Amino acid sequence: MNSLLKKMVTLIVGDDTQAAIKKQSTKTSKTKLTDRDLLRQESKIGATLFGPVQKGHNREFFCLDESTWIWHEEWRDEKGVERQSTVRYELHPNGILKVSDGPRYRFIEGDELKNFAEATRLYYEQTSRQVYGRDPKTGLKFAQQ
Amino acid sequence: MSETIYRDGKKFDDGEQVDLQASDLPPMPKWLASYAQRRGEVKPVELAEPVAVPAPAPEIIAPLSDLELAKTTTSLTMYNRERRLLEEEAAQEDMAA
Repeated sequence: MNSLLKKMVTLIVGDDTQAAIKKQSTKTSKTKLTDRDLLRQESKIGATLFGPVQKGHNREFFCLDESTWIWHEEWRDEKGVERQSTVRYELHPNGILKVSDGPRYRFIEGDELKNFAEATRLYYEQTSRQVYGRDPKTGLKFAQQ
Repeated sequence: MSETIYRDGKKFDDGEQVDLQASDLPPMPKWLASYAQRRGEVKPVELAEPVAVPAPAPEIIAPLSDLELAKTTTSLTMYNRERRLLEEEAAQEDMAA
């Protein structure tokens, strides 16, 4: 496994989703374009879905796999100390589990759940258009329409 | 002259019981006649046929719940990614061939 990817996964996702990443990476290791490339492109779009990123902050928001979304943000505080926060959203049959630093676990609800669902919708629509060149409603490539 | 008396709803002429005729009945007071007439006009209340409860209208297809929306968009996103990688792989094979 690419060491850089491994480091990124460890930093952002944590150890429990290594298997999923390893599976994806192995599957596409022979292709020129990798999961990581696509994920990075998607994440650039994902980072913009929640409004402008504060100056000095670096935000990532992306769909990791069929059941996991990642929010990661890094910044420096007033004293110049590096700070970071990672939130993992896990899709379960009965709800969406939010795993925050700590770790803290809870199923999101109300406005938070609504906003998260809306973010995933926007993410899909915008990545479909901007990363994959496809109409999010039909799935057809724009050139084919 | 015979004397007619009524007792206990029976007619007696000169002390002898005779059959009571309809004409023997005293005239019905007007208020009672009117009441009876109205009653006669009033049709008995008929119980309506049991009304079949209409089947509930087809429910409007509810929009996806937030959870379902998130699951759907996640699947679609992953599908996009997988398809893109497969396309890339196919293109690589074509070039190699």
